[in-house]
Amino acid sequence: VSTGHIEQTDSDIVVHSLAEPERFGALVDRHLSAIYRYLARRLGADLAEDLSAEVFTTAFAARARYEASRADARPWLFGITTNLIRRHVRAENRRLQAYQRAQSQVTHHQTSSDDLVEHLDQLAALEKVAVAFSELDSDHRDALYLVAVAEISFKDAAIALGITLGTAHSRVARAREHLRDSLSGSGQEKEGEPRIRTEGHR
Amino acid sequence: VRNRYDELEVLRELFDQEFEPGAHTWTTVTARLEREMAEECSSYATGRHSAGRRLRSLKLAIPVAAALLLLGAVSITVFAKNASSPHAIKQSLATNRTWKLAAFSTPAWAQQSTIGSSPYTLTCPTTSTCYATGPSEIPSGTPSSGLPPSILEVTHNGGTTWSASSLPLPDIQFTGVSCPSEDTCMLGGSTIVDGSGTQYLFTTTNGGAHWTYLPIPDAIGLSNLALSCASTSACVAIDAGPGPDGQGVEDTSYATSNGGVTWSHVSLPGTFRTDALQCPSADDCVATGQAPGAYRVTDPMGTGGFAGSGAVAYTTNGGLSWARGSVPSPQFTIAGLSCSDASHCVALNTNNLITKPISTVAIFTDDGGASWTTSTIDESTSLNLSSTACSSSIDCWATGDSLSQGVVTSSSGSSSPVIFATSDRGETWTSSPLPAAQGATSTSVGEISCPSTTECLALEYQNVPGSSTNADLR
Repeated sequence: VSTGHIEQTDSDIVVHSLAEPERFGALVDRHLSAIYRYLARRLGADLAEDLSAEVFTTAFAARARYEASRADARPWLFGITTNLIRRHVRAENRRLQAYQRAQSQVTHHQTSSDDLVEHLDQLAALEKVAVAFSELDSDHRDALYLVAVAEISFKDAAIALGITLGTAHSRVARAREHLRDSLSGSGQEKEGEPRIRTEGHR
Repeated sequence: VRNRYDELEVLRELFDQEFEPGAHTWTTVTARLEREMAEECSSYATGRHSAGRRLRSLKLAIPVAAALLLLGAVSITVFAKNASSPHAIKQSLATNRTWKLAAFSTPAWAQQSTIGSSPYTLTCPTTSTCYATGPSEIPSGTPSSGLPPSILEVTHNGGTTWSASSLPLPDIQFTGVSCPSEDTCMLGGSTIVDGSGTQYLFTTTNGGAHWTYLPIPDAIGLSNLALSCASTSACVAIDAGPGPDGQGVEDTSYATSNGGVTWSHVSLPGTFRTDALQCPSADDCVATGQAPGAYRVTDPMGTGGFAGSGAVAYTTNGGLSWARGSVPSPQFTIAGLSCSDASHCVALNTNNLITKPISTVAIFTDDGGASWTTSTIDESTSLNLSSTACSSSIDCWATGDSLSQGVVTSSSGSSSPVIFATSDRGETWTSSPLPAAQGATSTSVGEISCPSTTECLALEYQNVPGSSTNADLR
């Protein structure tokens, strides 16, 4: 029986690993880079390594509950990762604040006044978005990050976050609106809309 | 104030740092995972984990055969149907793919004399819980040509013991059943004994202990219902209705996302008669069956025939719209459908058993039903396979009968029950000899269900000398 050239789905790997645990290693080969990148961008490289290991050990321990009909395990792994990130939301906020400070202290060596103005505008936009992103609560922050930065589909983001597709769309739309408002300088919450608060305010 | 910058572009720039795991990260992750695996194996060794014991024994039983490792320890419970002492037999394929008697059970319906060769259904949402349906004993006074009402048996211990589920109505004939979870099932059927043909949908959320009525979708007919629930809330039902020309049949798809409280419906593309339906996810379903050609008034066997060719339809939006799949050399009908996930399915493509020697091939899809490729199971014999189940995208089983060459119909010539297995998505198939209780003869294998990669269950029919055998089961 020849199986070498058959491309197994993630689901196949997970279900086979129930009887043969060592097979789970193939899932690490496939997805460690994406998980590490997700963690490092949000929490920094220092935490990313340790948490990457925690993601895969958590997934391994929970593999019996994996929904085998989902061929792609990425949403499942992103969901586990997102839950871990939530435990480190302070680290993420510190990282965003550090970024803001770094932008305000940066020394500029632009060749012309136009370039300098443009550059300062960009830095200001980055700082505003960093502030606005840090103001989002975890629900909105995670949804926006997964769809906009990790660039996974709304459907997969909904699976990762354990929410309906409609809720995923709604959270991303509201989070985008908050960022857009911050860029436009309005920064005001609209009447009748629920407030999007930072984790620390909850 | 108009934004100069797009908020998403800025957000992406904010996180635009390239990170890749270095060698140290790979080592750390791998080492932590290996430690976790070792701890799991350690818990097996100390007897704290029953699945682990199975793992250890499996590894001892399979020294080097990588191909067989793919199959895993497939233990199959076979329920023997006969008049006096039906058996449930468990079997491990781990060592040599042969079947062994391992346990016995006595489903109530298996003890009763029946007529007709109505197919029994078997659906196992978990390795411990299975639901089996079949015709009950024919009530006295019922015309012999009539079909008896159905009964539903439930096991919660992997087939060791069965109990009859108490239904709200006694005389229902099931035409569709789907159990997306251990506790939840949906049943469709109609009353038959009183001739009223009243149609019903039921659901249970406590493993068949109690059933409640569901509203019947407008215009649905449950006489030829295919039903599949991807979850406890998302179900699709396909019903065969009269075709646009009044002669053919036109199937209609009904979809619910609230457990059957409300339904929406659309017609399947073209004229289509559904034999099997599988919804591996709430959005993705595949239906197989026939696209009718012309009606055959007479045929060599003197029975009415439905001349058509196998066809496939699929949906990616939970049954709100359907498209036809492309099948190479479709035969008479396509049935025996099983989907391991939203992309991967296998079905059985069987030719017209009225006019040609019976021949079944498997067809596989890896794009949710849009396109299919053919896999020949066994060219050396005439196969009439009816049920298939996949535990992964590459591990599948097919059950049915092998008939002597040249046999034109299933009612003549000799046949023997077979189970074929593939662990490479149909590249190769191997058959497994089947067991029978002492003194009994295995006559046929029916439905098979694989709730996990390590366990499958199948129905087997046996003749036992000294008991009143069921000739119709041959």
